[in-house]
Amino acid sequence: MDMEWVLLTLRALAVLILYAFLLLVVYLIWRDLHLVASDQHTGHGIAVTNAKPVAWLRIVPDMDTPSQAEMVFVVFPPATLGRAEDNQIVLQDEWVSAYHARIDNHAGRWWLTDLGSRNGTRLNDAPITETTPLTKGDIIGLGRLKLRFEAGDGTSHPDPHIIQT
Amino acid sequence: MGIPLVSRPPGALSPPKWWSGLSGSLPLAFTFVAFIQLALVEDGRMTAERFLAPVMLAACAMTATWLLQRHMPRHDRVLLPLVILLIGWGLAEVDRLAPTVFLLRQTLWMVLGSGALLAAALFPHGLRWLERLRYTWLLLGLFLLGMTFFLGVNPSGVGARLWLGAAGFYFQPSELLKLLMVVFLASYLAQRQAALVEVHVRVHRWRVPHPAHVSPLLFMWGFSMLLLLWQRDLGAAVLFFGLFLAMFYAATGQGVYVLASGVLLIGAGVVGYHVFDVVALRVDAWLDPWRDASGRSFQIVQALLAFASGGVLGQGLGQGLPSAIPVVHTDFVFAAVGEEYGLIGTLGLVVAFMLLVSRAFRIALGCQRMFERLLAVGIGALFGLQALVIMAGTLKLIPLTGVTLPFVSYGGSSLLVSMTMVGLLLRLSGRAVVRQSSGEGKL
Repeated sequence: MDMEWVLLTLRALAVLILYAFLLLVVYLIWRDLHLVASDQHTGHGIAVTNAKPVAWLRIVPDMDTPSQAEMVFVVFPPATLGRAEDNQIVLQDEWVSAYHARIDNHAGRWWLTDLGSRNGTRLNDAPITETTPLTKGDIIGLGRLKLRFEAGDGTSHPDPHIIQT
Repeated sequence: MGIPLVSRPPGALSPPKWWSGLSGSLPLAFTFVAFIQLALVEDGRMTAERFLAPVMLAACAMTATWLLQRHMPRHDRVLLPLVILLIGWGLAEVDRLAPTVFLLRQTLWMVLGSGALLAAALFPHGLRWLERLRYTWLLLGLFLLGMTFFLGVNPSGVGARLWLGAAGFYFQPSELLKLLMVVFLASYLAQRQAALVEVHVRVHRWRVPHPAHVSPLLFMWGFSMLLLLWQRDLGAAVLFFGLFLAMFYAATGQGVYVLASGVLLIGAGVVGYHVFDVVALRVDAWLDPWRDASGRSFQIVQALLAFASGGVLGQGLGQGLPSAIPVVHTDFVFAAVGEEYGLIGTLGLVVAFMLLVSRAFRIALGCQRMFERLLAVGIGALFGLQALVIMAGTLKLIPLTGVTLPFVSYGGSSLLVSMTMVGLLLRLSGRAVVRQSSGEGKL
């Protein structure tokens, strides 16, 4: 074969490889974004975790912490709450114990358990001593924090615009 | 803080295995094809030492991929292949445009860079120390800058003295300064973010700029001007100011300050045009390069001719005449790509940079803490700005400022620092989906 033809073939090959690669990358990125979009559509992570019941905890702004921005935690039961990093929901407040409380879903209901925390767990301002059922709108008190409990039925989302990640 | 933080359950992001394999091997294939082309054009002999650079690249890429998959299974799968493509392309261009010893040096820097990348990605401790020592980084950066002012040299003997050298080994502190500045700004803005978003000052009914917004802005503007005054480094000045604006906007969402700063920058440009000859020269060469085509705007004219002779399909690697452009292997490597790969190649390169930046921003979205988000945004903005400034400069879309094209240009310090930043991005992407957790600081 002639040298010129070899070089021409190599040039074509280079362009082909380049664009095959870029297309592949675009596809992988598209796939990634698509997954995120479908998560948002159905409520975060439900599509992946196979329609487990889902609840949310929303920080209630308080007089002590007025600049507290609105934050929402997704609860995948069973969920532990506490100051330690390996809790599902990490709450950084000095008055919260390392492993403070747990939220479960049994028999179609939501339950709150205190895990022997130093400062106790309050439900609507009353300290709890044993596993207590939770209903929508309950205020859970841990340390200085107040969290509003919000449960969905798996299709609706409490506030779709807040999910930005 | 301030943005609700909700994370995805782990494991959803990893693509099927064979895709990762394919996307990892195509950039290497591209590099090998380029080196085969170069060998054929030069003398048709395929000797082993010719392929030292691509073989080293393949070794580094495979080691990095393997280690990352082993220790950080959830890292971003397209970031590293994109970077490998750019580095491989860069090695081929260095082989094409510069003497052999340059290629060896660049290969060595690439190996060092891979080490830095892995270290940044897999360093076992968190990034909090990086965040806490914010003023240390700022001072270190200013110190390095001061060092170049007093002790700076230029390896080629002429031009801006931006290097620190010892025993034949040169390092450009302004490259390290980029990394230090990104870390400092991310840390500073993350700390101040809540305050910056909330404060407003009203005079009657009009909102007026708050000192909290204006003072860091003026500080960065002054810093950039200092770079320009001291070092005559127009590229770095533009880059740092643009970086600050991008990160400031990402942290606060206040577009009006970006606009105001744009005006400030143009104002500085107009003043600079009349005061500094380095600015005047660049702007004159931009407005009308043909007036002094064989003199001061020789470089930009040659670059334009290179793009023109490249056309759509290019002359073919090794078959053009890009060496007619002075210092083509650093600042003007994009023109060499334009001549030999043509429009097809340059578009591919632009798309690769675009994807790289979009990945950085995507990683930022997945991060939990504001510092990490801003760090990822800053790195992405830096790559994007740098690529934009030099590519548009070579095309005479904007006045030319001398910065390197990240990963592609010849330049050891630039490559090393850029790869470290990619390592940080990989680290952030690997951590992003691991934990369900709250924001930073005390609630």
